[in-house]
Amino acid sequence: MADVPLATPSGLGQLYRGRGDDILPARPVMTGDVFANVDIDAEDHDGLVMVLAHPCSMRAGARLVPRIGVAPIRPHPEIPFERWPKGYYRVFPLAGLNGEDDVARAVFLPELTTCRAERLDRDKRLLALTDHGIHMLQQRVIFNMARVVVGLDRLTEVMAPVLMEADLEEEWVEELAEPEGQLTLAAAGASFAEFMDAEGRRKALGEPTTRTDIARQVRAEIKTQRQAS
Amino acid sequence: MTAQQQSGVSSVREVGERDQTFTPQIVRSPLLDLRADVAQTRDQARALARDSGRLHDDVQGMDLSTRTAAYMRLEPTDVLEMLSDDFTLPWSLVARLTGVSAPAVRKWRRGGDLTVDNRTRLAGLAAFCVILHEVWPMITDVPLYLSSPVAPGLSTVTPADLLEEGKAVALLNQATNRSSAEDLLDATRPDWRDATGPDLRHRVVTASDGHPAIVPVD
Repeated sequence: MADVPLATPSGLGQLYRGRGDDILPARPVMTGDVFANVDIDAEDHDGLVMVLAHPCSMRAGARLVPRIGVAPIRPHPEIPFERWPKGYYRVFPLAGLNGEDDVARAVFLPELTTCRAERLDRDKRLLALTDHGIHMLQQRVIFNMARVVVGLDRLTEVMAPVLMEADLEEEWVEELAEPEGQLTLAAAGASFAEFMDAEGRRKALGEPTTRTDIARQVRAEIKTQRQAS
Repeated sequence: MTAQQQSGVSSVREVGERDQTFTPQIVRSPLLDLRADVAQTRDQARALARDSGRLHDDVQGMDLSTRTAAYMRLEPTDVLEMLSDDFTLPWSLVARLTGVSAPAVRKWRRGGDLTVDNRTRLAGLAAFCVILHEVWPMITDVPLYLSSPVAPGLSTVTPADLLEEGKAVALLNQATNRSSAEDLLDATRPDWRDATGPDLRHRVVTASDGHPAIVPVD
């Protein structure tokens, strides 16, 4: 039998960006986000889901599409990190979802389904993954769906523009929306999208050699708008 | 009786004095001495390079430590502002390189407390970025440098990976071409050839919808 070269995480810190209140509503809905109280008509399911949809697939412009790809989360025996490449290909393990003392859980990848976008309430987001965590999730989803291993380096490369845009949107909305700023969350999100749509910025974000310059422009504009308000 | 024997002239040549041999290849030539001299110079140069390399590494380490101590005396919010304004580091990268979560960095930006350890790591990151730009000003995009493979096509290891492991001096040497990418990886990740190979079966292209996509290599 051959080894399947799926990635092995080094720790939860490498996977989890934040839990609960550490995740601001300013952060757009992303692949890997965990939400509670989402009814997807699955058996033995308490409402926890993880978003599996690609950030571009779940949006039409700046708005979420009506239905988003998610999969149910249930309790599951804990899987040691070193065992991740060796099996359990139908799940994405989620230890410590609600803290270190929480029961071990997992995302059940074959049960991919959809839910209404309005059920994904950013104020009720339980978990967000790091960039690396998102890449690892995608690698396992692809292997589960098609028995194909895509290297984390390619996933990193293909996701870099959209994950950078998510980080910049979070910064923009955090600084310019209430309580720090004057705008509502929705208005701040819309103004960010408008800024990125202009002057080819989103396309420039797609190129590694111009990505940092776009980030610089975003931060400069945030400062300008903060000073003006 | 042969003609030689009849003439009385011996066909045997006299062997010359020991220091007067007629065999060309063992004639003492100036090249022998030159070869020995140059070999000695080469060995001395190699020893000098090794010793000066170690000394340079020590000095670079001292420079990093001194600058880290200086940045520790600043307010963390000022250090973070410098990392943003001067180097445009993404906060997620700052979080990774200081060993904390992105929400933790956000709290720091709002004036939250840092442990001594975190403060040291943050100051160390600032020191590295500043020195990197000083010793190799051609690196104008530090986030791009940190996230690009050290040896493209051979390994997925990036400078950010090595910086996370405390290999700042080794990175400075490679950035300034004092060591090759392979030498850097051999010194820091001995198993890199087996454990960090890139995915050569796929590549990233821009699809017809304008978004990047992963496709098989032709």
